[in-house]
Amino acid sequence: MMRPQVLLTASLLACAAPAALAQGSGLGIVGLGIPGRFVSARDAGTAGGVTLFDPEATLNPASIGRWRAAAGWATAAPSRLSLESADTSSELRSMRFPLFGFASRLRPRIAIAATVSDYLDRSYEITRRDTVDLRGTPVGYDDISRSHGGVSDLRLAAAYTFDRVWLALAVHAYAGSSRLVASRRFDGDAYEDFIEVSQTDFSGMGLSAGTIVSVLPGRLDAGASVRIGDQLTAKNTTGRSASVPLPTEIAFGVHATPAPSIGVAATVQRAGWSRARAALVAAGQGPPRDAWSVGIGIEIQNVDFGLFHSPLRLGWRTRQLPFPIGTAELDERAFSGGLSLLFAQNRTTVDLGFERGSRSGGAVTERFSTLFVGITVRP
Amino acid sequence: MARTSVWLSWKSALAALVTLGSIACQERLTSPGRCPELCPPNDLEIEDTTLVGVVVSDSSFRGYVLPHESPVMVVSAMDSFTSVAVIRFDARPSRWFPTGGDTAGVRIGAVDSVTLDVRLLQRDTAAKNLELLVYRIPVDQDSATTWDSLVTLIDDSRIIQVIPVHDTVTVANIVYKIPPAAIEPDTITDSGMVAIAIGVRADRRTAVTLFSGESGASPRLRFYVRGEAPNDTLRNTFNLGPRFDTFVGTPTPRDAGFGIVVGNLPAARALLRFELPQYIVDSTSVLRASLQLRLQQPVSGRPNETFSIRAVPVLRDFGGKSVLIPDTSVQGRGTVTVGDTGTVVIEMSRVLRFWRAVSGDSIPRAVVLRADPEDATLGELRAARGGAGASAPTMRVTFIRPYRFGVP
Repeated sequence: MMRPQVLLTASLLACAAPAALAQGSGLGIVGLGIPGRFVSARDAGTAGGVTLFDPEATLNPASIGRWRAAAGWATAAPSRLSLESADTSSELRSMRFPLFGFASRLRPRIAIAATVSDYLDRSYEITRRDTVDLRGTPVGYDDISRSHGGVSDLRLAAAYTFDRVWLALAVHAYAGSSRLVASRRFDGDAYEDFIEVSQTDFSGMGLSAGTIVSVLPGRLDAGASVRIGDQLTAKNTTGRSASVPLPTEIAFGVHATPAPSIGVAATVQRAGWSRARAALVAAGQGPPRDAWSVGIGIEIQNVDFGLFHSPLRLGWRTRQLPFPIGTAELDERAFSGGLSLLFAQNRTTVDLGFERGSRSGGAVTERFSTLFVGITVRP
Repeated sequence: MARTSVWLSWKSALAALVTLGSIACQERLTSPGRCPELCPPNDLEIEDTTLVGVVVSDSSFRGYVLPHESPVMVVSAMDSFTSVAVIRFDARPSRWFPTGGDTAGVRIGAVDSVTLDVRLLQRDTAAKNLELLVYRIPVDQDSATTWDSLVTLIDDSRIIQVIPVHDTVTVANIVYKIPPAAIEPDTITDSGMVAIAIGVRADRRTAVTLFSGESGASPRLRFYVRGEAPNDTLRNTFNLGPRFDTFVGTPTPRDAGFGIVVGNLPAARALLRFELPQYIVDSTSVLRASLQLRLQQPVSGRPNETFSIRAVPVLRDFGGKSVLIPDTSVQGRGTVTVGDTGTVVIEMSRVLRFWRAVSGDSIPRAVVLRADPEDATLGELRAARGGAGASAPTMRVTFIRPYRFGVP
């Protein structure tokens, strides 16, 4: 019974080796990039509806109190994207690993967890074709601006369990880098090609706190979390540096069980990115806004799929992206679905989630399809 | 069995999942820029400037390739340059040995015929009724032979054969008979050698290029002989290649000591030492750097001849014996046509990029200008020196200053 796990783990590792930092969206060039969605595959299936209550997700540290024993988990998220604007379109593929984690119980009422998750995705590759007048002659060229990397959130969390309440604190360290390339290739051989490479390293800190309250045990839970960010410091190898205030993020959510096999959940978040307005405008970026996001999902237990039984998850979400394209604000919407497979006497869970959605702002639309593959091992 | 069947289905599903995961590993992140919204905030800023006084020292030297080292021989009847090819063939033996055990051999009784093979490389197709004139000259020709030492021998009385070249022939191996009596080897000194000179004439003044012994397509002289009686039924062919060949002409290239002189045979090179603004070499990306040389006179050489000028970076500056960097990927290049006037441009961007990568303490900022191909170019460029005021070399540089990556 271990062979499927081995196969799947090998596949995930094969993906992880060459492309662990390669994540992509054509819109990753705006602002600080695309804010990460630190969700598990289960969570993704409900469009983030259960994210405050999902012990694998990192939004609410109190959720780790739900682990009853040690566990490890990882999520891979390959995506296909198509970027469309007024006069161009392109097909993109990317591979993300939005979440890794490990949790254990120190004492019966105390759980701890360490997680690594997406915080900002700054991978993109932009090509541009144009002509420049050199020495009185028009010369065609192709520009490529490339960034690979992003900012990850390394979180250490501890949760305490009361009878009907979970409380938790977490420390966040933001770290990462993006490798930047600017190149220009001229038509013909009269002019040498230009290429310049640099790297920007990021660092920052944050604190978060969260709670889950069992309002009606077994029927209704409520959760809330707050995360306070300090400064994200960016240092480029050319010697330039900048600091950007990180947002304060708050989230509220409920999880209801109206029937024994049906769960419904919703989560609302707000990230105060407008704090970073002065720093980003000074860097030539558009002014960021405070961004709201809402996710609603339903989970139906033990659905008979013929060959197997599995939970069926469905969801819908919308979120505002904080960084604009020029003057146009970006919004993101997606539908999702998912299921779970149990192996190894229920000690291993493979969650599958699928998401189909779009980001749009002004004349630019990016459609995406993402497969979330999560594996959770409870040794 | 039912459980096994379900398990196999699981395996299939997982195999498909693994495959999907592997396919998804291929990244493709490139998207077209929609500027300015989806482009980097900072554009590349290209600057173009002409630097004067960049050549702070120059010297020219002649003699890097001598005519007898060249793979070609130039035969010319031009007003500007008159020359003949000079070929001294290997000695023809007086006997041959038909069988391995024969120590006496067979002495040559009679020469039935003689043919001369020459490989024509280049001609002026506008010149019609082209003829190669073969002169018999003394065998004591060597690298000391000059036009002056030979000119008295180049007259019609010494022509032993006239080889017509059809008007349609441009590159060809020409085989033509020579009267045996006229080409009989030297018997006075018993050297067995033969030397000839080859000139050219046509219905207009012209020049041709022949391959020499250094080319691998050397001239050949073939003697078809019979044995002396009683072996007069035996026949043999002596196929003789050149022991020495060259070409001599007038006027001889002038001393290269003054001005920037490049090309011709004996080949001249110019050593140019530069002083460039530090920001050009060290902190910018050079897109194009054009060294502009002002010609003092039209480029000389064979009519319509086009040749390259290479700017080869100097590894160690020892003047005329400087050590050069042979890597062609870091060399500059320009193209020149005989008759050009005005300005010659040599593209130096690769040289500047090479200098940027290597400290000035270890690599001198100097290049040697040389013709390419150096051993087969009669073209000669003479340009004004660094101290020639307004005519001095300049360098036009198109460059990008260090790119300002957006932070954050």
